[in-house]
Amino acid sequence: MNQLRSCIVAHEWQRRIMLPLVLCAFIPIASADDSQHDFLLFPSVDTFDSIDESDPVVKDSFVRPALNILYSYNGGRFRFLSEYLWSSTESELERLKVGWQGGDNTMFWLGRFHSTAKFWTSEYHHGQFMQTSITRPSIEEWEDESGPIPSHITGLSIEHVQPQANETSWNYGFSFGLAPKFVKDKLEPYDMLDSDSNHGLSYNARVAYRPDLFGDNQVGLLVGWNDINVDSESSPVLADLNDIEQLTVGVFADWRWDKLRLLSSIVQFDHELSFITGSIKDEFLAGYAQLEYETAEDWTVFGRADFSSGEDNSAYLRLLPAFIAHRNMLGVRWDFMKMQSLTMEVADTSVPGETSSHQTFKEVRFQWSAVFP
Amino acid sequence: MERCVSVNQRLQLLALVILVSMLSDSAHAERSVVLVMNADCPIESLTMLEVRKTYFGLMASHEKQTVRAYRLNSDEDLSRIFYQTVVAMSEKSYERRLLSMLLKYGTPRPQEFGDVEELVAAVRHSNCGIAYMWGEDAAAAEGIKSIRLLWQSE
Repeated sequence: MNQLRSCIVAHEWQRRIMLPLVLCAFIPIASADDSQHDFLLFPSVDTFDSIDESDPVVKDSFVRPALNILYSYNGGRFRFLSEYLWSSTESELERLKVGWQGGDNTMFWLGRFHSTAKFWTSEYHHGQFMQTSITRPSIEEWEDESGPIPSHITGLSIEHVQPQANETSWNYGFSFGLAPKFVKDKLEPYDMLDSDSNHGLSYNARVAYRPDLFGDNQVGLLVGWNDINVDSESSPVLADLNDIEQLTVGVFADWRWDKLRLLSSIVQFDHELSFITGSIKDEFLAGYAQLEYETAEDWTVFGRADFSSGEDNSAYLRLLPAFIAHRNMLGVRWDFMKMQSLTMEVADTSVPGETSSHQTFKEVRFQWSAVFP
Repeated sequence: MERCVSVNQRLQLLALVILVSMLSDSAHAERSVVLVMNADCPIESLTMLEVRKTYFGLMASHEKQTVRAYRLNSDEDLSRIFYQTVVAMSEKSYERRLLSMLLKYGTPRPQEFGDVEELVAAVRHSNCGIAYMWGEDAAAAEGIKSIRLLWQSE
């Protein structure tokens, strides 16, 4: 039995490592005189402690070191990008895609990427240092953290920037591919090396307006449609459930007024859950608003409210017991040296839990994060 | 007689000071920062918007030629002029923007070099790479051409 297990583990390790190596092997074919490699390391160490829990079952505390590795290759019109995350709790190939540049303003990507219809996710990916806060908003959480929207899609994506004469721009993104499926109590992304995994399709679109082509300010719209197949045998709760169709329509904004910055996204969720006996429709609204203020050159205070409405009646969210329905958070971040930071967050948090009454707790987090080189 | 010599010496000293001062002012007035490119590159000019786009990774080709941006990171005065004149934002904002573009789209960041010779060699070796440098360094280097004046001291 142990022999079989070690064989499976070794096989899994080989599978994880083989695909990037195979793709890297194609890079010299596409190399050009002006080719360039870029390599970034995003290390971080998080500490978490919950206090004042409404139910002892939600008591938790941990220290989690993590290292996100980003590699990018550019040669002529060819582009390759991979992102791999190692932490004390997971080791996963997050993004792996090859791209073709159709002119200055359009990129075609093929591979595994982050959903176009999730604002925060497609801005910060796993680059922890790049986001001011330690935590992600609840609707932007990854699949394995009870995120309600698929994050990892495998297929084709197109990005197009339409610069205007007045140096503003319209940015368009569209993607389609294989969506995650629902297993036990979370979404599980498509495994690029397991073609028999029976995943549904995902379509995502995003439109953004930038008042300054070179600046960070942007506002926009998000639309996503996901056909989420269900592994009915993975949990008794899913026994009669065959399929979930999810439609998300949202807006987002990232806007600065001198030292003040607002990051916000609000999404309307519509689901149809198909059971053996019939189907159920549900809908709810969820979003967040994060305000940041630079008190001094290297100090930022920030706060975020994660909110939702109608979530108590959602059959879909009952399948995600760790989804954070409400969180009111305050934090402070100190940037030091060239690209390092220390951050502290305190929050009042509420999750749906297993029953209809919410479980609540307060949380304290500390984090060191950086980017090298 | 001694008084006469003393006056002459003072006049000579004054003339020397004025001459040095004039030469210094003249040299200072001629200080400029230019945009350079491989001399063999068919591109003859770039607008300021195109230069800015290239340094943000938003423009990778021009007139069917691959254009890459290169930087010298060892000269603080030159860097300050670059942040003010070319990208029009602080060093911190610019570096964050480049990191963000690399993280999101895999957009290559401008390659950085520690000295002028390395920078010139990179520009010469590139197809149509661009770099900014002091006018006198550009004039002394071979195999590159100056295509745009980016800054000139008043």
